Amino acid sequence: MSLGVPAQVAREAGNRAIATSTQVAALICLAAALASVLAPGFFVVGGVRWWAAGSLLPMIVLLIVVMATGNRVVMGAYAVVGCLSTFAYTVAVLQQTASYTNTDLFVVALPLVALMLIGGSRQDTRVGVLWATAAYALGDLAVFAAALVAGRQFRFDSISLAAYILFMALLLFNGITRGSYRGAHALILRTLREQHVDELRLEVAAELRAELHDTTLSELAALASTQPGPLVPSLRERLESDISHWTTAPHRAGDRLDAADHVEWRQSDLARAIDHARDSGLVVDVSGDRGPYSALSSEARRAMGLAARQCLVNVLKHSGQSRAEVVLSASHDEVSLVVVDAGRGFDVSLLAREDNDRMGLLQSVIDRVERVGGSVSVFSRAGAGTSVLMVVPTAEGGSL
Amino acid sequence: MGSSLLDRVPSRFDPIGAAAAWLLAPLAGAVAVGYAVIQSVTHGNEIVRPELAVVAVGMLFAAAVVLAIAAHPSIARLGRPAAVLVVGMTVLASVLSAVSTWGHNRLVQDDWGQIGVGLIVLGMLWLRPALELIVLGALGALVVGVLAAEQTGSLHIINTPYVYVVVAATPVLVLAAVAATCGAVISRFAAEWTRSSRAGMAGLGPEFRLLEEVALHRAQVAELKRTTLPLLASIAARGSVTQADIEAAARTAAQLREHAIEELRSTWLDRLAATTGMKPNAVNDPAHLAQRVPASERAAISACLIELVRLGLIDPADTAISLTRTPTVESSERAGFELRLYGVSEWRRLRRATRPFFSVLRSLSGDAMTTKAGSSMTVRFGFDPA
Repeated sequence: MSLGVPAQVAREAGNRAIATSTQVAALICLAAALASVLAPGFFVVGGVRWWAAGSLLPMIVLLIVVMATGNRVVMGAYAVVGCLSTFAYTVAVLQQTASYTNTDLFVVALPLVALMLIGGSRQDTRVGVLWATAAYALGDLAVFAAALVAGRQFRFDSISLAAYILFMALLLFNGITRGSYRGAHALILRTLREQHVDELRLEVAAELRAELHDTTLSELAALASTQPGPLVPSLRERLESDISHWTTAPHRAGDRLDAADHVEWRQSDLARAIDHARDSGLVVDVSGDRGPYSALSSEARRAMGLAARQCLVNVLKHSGQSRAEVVLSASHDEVSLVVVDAGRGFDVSLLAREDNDRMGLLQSVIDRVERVGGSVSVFSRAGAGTSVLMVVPTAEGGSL
Repeated sequence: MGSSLLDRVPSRFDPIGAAAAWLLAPLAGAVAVGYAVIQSVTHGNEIVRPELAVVAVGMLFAAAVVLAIAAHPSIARLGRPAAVLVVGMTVLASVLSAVSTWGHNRLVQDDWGQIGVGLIVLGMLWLRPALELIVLGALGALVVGVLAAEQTGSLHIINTPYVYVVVAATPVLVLAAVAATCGAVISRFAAEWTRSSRAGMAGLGPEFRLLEEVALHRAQVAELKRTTLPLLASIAARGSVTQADIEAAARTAAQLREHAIEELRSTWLDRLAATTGMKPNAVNDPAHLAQRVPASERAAISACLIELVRLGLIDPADTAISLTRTPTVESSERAGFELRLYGVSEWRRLRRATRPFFSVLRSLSGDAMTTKAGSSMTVRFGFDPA
């Protein structure tokens, strides 16, 4: 039982579900094709067409490699080799069975369907549709050629067409539904966090009440029950101890200075940015020393916080990941902040282009940090995650 | 993928996703029935027992309707017996369809039975565990495969029965595999995210606690500094107690105690009422069960109410909450939570807005339900008091 998953996880899960399930479906189609071409031969001495079955093996092997790696080059190889395999297989099937007079056959459609389903392996639905359509078209050309070679009538088969329509409908349905209602998830998550804080507050309040009862209330009760006149020395001592307890004694939570830093940290733009990302469903791990960040000028803190917010929004929108890391570090003259994700990454050189879709990174991150005298370095490449390093000089060490 | 992954119902792990994708089941059913009708009409010349053909399509239609009702967000539940029944009806429809053309069927690939079984299993993607979908698909494939093999000799294409089995069984196996794999992957992602999210939330506990300690300590000291500490300081400095000091001490002690008790009485429902603008007496909790509502259920119902108020779909002043103990057959304790929304006018928007929250509540409690009476809507769910 769970509260569901946030939008970016839902999208990733949906895409992965489509990819894996269509790959498994393609494998079943190829296994069925293998059975179709082998089965008739078992009942005739020497009739097994091993070569025909063998023609499907490279396709099966490449499909398994695609399933394991998701590599685009292997997908391309699968499409090309798949067409050749489909050709050889179709020739074998048509020649093997005399009553197969045309190509509108389920057994002919099997490798075709396996070919088009490769489109499901792409993360981007639009690209997936293009892959599926191209593979389907190439596969049909292979069937056409096989019909010519085998001397049978080429007829557009209704089975693969129905499978194509169903596949497109599945992609479309996934695209439409996987992001729906996810605002509700963010709200539930935020409410859960707030209620968690409320519970903690009640716990702490109960502890404080007990402390109050043992100290001040106890002294007040003693005073209320005493007679007018000189104060008993022991009661006077307790009163002074009580006053000292509330005004000067360190709170049992430990170092009050740390606690005050903590409050300052929680109220900072960076902490708010992290909370916002967490409310949106991103699991954000924060590490490093927060003190130096809190010691920055208010402008620098704000710039860094808002820049980090944009980075985390980018992780949510583009990375396909549900987890990110925020790492803080400092030297004597500068504070560094890195936002890291292990997502799909992007080509950093595209940032220089005017039509790039990462304007948020340019304007909200780079420009903002540079305005307070800092610098930003972006490390990313396709499939290898993204790290955005922001360095801002401290008031003492830098130009601020 | 471990075996436990195959035993999970995806809608329990991603209830919001299930609510968003509920149309998959009725769409799959509609396509199955539509395909059956088209194939029956276009291959009408092969039908020798039309009454059986009609019953077959009718039975498929009934199975599709049952599946669509089960998938509707107000129910979103399909037990194992019901799933077996739905697939059983579809397989039976497939058998009847085959019998209706027995001896005159030209091509196995034109039969709608295997597509119908496959699509119905696909429609169960969110409602049943992957393992069950595989088993149901395999059994369905076996039946349609045997049916196809039994037609050897009467078919237009002459081949071995094994090829007929492949032609009939493959669509069922493919669609069942798609359903099972999708369900398993969705469950895996949801389970992994939930695990890491819980760990993340637990990790924030000490940080939040420290913050609250500091904030409350400051507030406590500020309050004490207003009257209490000056009183104690003046008495300590003078070294004597007057009648006025005694009276002031008694008064201050009473005020502090009263304030502390007020804080104790405050529950999350009181805070929710204050946040949303509900009337102070809108919460009826005679058995003091509010604090025993599990955290996830609290978050889901609170978020639902906050969202409805934000969208202006309800008047918070016309909203009531009641918590009661519910009798159980077993010795276990069970309680019920009821949220009543009065004066509802925009039902369509309200249903749509509550759908994801309700789906989550149902996933958590297992017995959440909504009822409509006149212009009021009631959301109920049970919980095991924590």
